[in-house]
Amino acid sequence: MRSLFFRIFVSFLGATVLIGILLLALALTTDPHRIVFAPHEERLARIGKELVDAYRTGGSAALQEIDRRRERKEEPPAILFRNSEGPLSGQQAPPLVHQLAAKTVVTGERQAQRGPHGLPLLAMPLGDGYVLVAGVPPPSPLERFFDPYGLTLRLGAAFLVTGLISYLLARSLSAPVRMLRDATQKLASGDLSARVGPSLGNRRDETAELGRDFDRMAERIGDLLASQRRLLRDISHELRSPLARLNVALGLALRKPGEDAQGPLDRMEREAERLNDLIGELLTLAQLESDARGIERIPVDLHILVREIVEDAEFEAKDANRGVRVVQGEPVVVAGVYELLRRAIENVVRNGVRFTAKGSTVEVRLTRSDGICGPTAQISVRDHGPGVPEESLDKLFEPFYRVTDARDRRSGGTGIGLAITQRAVKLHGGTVRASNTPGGGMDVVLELPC
Amino acid sequence: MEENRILVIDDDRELCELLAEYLGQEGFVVESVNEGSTGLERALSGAHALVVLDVMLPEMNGFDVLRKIRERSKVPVLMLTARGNDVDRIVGLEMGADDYLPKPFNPRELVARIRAVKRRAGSSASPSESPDLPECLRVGDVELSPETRVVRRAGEVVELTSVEFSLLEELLRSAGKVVAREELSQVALGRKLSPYDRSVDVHMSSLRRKLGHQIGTMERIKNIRGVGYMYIRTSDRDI
Repeated sequence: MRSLFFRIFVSFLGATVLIGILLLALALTTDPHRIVFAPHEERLARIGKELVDAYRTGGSAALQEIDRRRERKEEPPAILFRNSEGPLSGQQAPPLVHQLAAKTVVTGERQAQRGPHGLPLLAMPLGDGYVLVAGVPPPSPLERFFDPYGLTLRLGAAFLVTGLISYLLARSLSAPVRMLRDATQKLASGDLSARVGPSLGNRRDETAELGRDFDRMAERIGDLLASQRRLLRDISHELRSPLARLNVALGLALRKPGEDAQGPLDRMEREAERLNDLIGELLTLAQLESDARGIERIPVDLHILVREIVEDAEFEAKDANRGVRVVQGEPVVVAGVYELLRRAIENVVRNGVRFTAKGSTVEVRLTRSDGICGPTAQISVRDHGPGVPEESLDKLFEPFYRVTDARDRRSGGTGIGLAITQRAVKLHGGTVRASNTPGGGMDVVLELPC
Repeated sequence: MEENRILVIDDDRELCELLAEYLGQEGFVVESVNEGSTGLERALSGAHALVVLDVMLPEMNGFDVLRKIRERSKVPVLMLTARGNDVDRIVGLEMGADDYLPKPFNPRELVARIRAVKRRAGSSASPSESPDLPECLRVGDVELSPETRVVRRAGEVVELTSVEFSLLEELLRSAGKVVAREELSQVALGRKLSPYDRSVDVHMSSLRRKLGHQIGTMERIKNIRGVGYMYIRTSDRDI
């Protein structure tokens, strides 16, 4: 069907019409005034036997006695005939009852008929010429409910029709929404190839349109990301050519005599190196963002890795009157890319060393914990520096983010280290977050699934 | 073949000019070619003692050129690779390159590597090298040959960059004594140490990592705060 509007409209209209037709059909095929004999047979036989016995022993008087008793108990009347005589109690009966009794005697079969005021009457031959004509007690509420010819059947039919159509309508509405949701989740988790188009088939309604719009959007996001990465990679590569020339030119300049130029030239060489480091980091970042899948993982002993990183950092930090120490280390092995894990952890540790106060020690903890999502390794790096304003904590992991001018380039670093950490950790299915610790300083926690 | 003729195959003309001048001052004669096919032709001519080959060439790339060269010739080849691209390096070395240098490079490092490759390839010593260098520096489990620029630890070759090599050479020469950071900067990086310059420390750190942090229970390279570094001299019983 073309559109959702049309589908919903037609479904409701269709359900109403179908219910109407069904009710009409039921009304035509079933007779609400029909009297069914079977459920009363046993009771009538019992009453009949009682009346016949009473008549044989006590005559009309006994029957009148029973009549009065029945009247008191508000039971429907029961009248006894013999052949065409009667009523045997000697009382008056409507002509209809007489006719019914006569008919029963002639045919010898049970009869049912509506009496005066619509009261159902049943007539039953009792043998030996006796015939019982009795009224039927009004049905109890429960009986009325289960009466196959009553309201229940009609309501049931209406429910069935509405239910069926509602189910079909709901399913046809929710199925594409669910597909769309699945695709959105896939896209959000980084699978840029997620599309809904193929599973929509030949649908032409609004949700299908939405699906196609989604596909176009996903396509565009994918293109944009790809071109951004390509640009980053190209820029990085292109920057290296002039840098290579600059290095050689510097080498030439350094050979020329002239003490005065030596200092600035050394400086230029250092800056060129820094520029090159930065480009290298940018390339790493670009690679991390594009090659998200298909990397080979090996078991990496984090305990050994963390100790090595800390030893290296300690080696360098000592000179700046700072320290790094592993204060807690549990043996944990994760599956990962060694070099990426090393860089991820090293960047955080070095960042800590860079900002911790002179004379203080950066504390590194490696612990293993069993969370709801399985066991994880946690690496916490706590420095004793100035900390970071709360609103900046999340931005720390964005490339080139610098909190204030106080954390400027003089303190080293390219500004990409933590961004690389975040990407690398994410690639391993882990998380990284930073928080300020009471008493100053920052705590960065990497969490990696084991 | 002339001893000091070097063929540079790189599509960056300006870089070729600069290299020709720089290497010229080091006593080399440089011929530059800007595309792969001509480069291959020239490399196979047998007129050069060494080929410097860039991986990123238009049309016929560096690996193709290298493979074609190796089909016919054993001329030493030094490859220029994109920095940080280990795949390039490994592929290059497996295909028969004699050494590699990530681009951009420090020209001093290029010269050092050209000399080392030539020496390894069996050429006679280059003119600027003094003949009275010791054959080999040996301290503890580490051996360093200034001639071939090869470092071995416990018999296994350790791959070092030229800066790391120079740092290690300097430390080993004064093993057991502290070498000032200023001196290390001057020798290994060729420049004066300035405030905030952490280069020596970074290189030292990666050298330490490559050699192993410790010998037995002793720290291999000690950082003497505010002064410099010291390579621990171990007596034989410590090892």
